[in-house]
Amino acid sequence: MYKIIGGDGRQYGPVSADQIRQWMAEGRANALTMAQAEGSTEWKPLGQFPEFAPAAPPAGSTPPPQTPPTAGPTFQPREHVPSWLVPAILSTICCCLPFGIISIVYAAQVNTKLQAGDIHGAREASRNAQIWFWLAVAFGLISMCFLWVPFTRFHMHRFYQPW
Amino acid sequence: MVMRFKTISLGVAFGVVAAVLFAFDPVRASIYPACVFHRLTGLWCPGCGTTRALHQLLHGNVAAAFHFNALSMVILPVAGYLIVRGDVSTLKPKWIWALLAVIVAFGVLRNIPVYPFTLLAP
Repeated sequence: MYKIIGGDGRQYGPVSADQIRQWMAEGRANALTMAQAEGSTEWKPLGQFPEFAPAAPPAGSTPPPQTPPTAGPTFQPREHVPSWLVPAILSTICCCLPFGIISIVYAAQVNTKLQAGDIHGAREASRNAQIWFWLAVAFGLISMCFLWVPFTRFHMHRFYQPW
Repeated sequence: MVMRFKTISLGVAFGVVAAVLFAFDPVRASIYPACVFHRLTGLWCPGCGTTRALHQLLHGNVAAAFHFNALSMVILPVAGYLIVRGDVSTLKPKWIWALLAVIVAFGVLRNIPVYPFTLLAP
């Protein structure tokens, strides 16, 4: 996995090597794009990574020669796919339901797929995380109302809340 | 504009919930909804004790808060960090799996009726 600095000067990633090769093929990144391998603290141009050297068009041979990608907005920001992680966690704690746990599982899948560059899979997982989060909330609220209203009304003094 | 409305309404809701939690002790007042999982199974869910813990926390009793639900006291700063961080999509999946494992493990361990684990029950 690698982090990369886009043409807008912002940091993207971590993304897979395949994703970077695809970006290079699309011209969104080139041999001069600064990147950092996971586990290393050193930033260097993609052309100096042996794994990307063959894919990189030699800097200077491309029509706008020697243009570092930081000079222009050549790198489009990655699409934002909400992972629903925080709502999923809170619904698991507050609604006490397995639905929240399913939502967390999908939230984890959103990140896994996003970081592997699988944008369609990430969107799918994001939608599932959202659905299961709202199911957890709806189910929690409905069942709480069933338990709550009668007990507070008729057992005010002897009913101790277990939550 | 929409974002601002969302922020304000969330803030107001947060304040109302905090005020109610501060004023009414869940141990004595039964105005709070009961945990469905606990009512149906008799077991403690990972979230059981959270309202009592929050009540104690708002009164400054951190030890009592941990006694009622240690997990939610740990999750609270984690959730706060994630909200401040904003974009959680760059979070490494292994951290999410770890968090899920902690929640499930806590839910299992606090139901074991033997000494060190009984500390986890509310």
